[in-house]
Amino acid sequence: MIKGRSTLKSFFLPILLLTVAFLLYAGHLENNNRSSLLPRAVLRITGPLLDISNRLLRLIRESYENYINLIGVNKENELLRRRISQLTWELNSYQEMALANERYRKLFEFRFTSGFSSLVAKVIARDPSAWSSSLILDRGDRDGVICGMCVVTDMGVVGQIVSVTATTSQVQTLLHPDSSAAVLLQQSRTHALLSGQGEGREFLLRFIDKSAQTQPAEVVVTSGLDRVFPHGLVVGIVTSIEKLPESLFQAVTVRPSVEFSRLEEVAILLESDDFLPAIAEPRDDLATK
Amino acid sequence: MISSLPLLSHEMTWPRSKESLLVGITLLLQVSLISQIPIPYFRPDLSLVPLTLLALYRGGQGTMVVAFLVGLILDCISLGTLGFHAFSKSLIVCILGILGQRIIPENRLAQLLALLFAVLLQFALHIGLRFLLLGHSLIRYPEVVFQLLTEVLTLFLIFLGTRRYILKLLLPGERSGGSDAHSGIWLEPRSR
Repeated sequence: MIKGRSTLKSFFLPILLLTVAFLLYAGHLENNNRSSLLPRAVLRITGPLLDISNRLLRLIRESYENYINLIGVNKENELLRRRISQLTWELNSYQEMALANERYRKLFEFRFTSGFSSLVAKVIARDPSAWSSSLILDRGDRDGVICGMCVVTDMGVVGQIVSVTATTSQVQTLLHPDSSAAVLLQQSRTHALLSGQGEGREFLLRFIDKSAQTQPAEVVVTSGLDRVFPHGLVVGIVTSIEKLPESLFQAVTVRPSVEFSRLEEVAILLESDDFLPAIAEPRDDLATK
Repeated sequence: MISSLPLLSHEMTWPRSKESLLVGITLLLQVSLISQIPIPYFRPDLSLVPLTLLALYRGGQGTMVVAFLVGLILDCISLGTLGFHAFSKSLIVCILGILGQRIIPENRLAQLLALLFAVLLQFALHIGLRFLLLGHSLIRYPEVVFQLLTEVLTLFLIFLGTRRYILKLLLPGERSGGSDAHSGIWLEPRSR
């Protein structure tokens, strides 16, 4: 009897709960009325709790999103830095191109104003020796370049072609100790022979008579008498004049008008109506191997 | 017959405060977090995990009261038929409580099977009761299959991921030690 009571007792609550729940369910199955007291009471009680949890979750979600955004910003920052680096490189190349364009334009202007037919060439190498001065250009026999042609820039005379291969040519600059050119002082109209003295040094004007009225800062141009350099090309400016008593001639130095160390493009004068370059003998010691 | 089964002990074993708190937290997560997942038909019932464990370990009527209350709160917050969750969860806990007396609750497979049973029973009740009482069939196969699969998988993953901590935190020293200490699921028949 006692055992039966305890068993009944143990089943009472589960059966009660199940019955209540089922009746609740069955009662709301047809008409799920939410305006009854129970749902409203539960919502009223749980509402603030839900609000707090919702805020908490929103806070967590926002923090997480901010963190993700921060990672995104870092990535974006990295990308932008790379982009800036790339654009800087491009800008540099464009500036380089603009400068090259400017130099080409000057060379072409020179070509049109001088009346010479010319060929623009790039300097692809320089003389590795300290005792000579030469340039190697990217134009050669295929482009119609021959030995003896005059090489100039818009600033003045550079030198003379001394060696030609199919695709390259070598220029002996006026700075070379073996170089010389027939020149004319523009104001005093004094003829002289200009000689190179090596890299980094000024030209020397020879055979100027002591009586000649040379002036400092006088412009020196080619005279054309040597049949190598056409008449009227700027060579430099007189920087010093010395009249030594024991010498028959004046010692005049000329600063080159061309900055040889910064040459990147030059013009090779091919021909003109009144001037044909003398064919110089190829020099074995300067020839390109 | 009934008296021969130690189904539901008349000594009411109430879940402790920590256990109730855990159920409450899962309820809160269910309402606030799971409900905001923007995947259609993906609403795994998180409260089934602690309720299953509690039913297996505690097994008593107290867990059933907790399940009833949790279900009732869910019913009130959701717009489903009032009383469904209260009924289904009470029934699930009741059956699992009975099963908990016959199986080894520490066994992981037993726990997983119990969880699977809980999910399936809740599904069956949801569809079957409505069909029996109203004649409406709620079965729309792709959705139901998706919902069932995702719920089972999600709850399994959550269960496997949190099981150890739940048992350590909530049931210290009470049949919570080993995971697969026993090779079988079923207990040996009791000698009376």
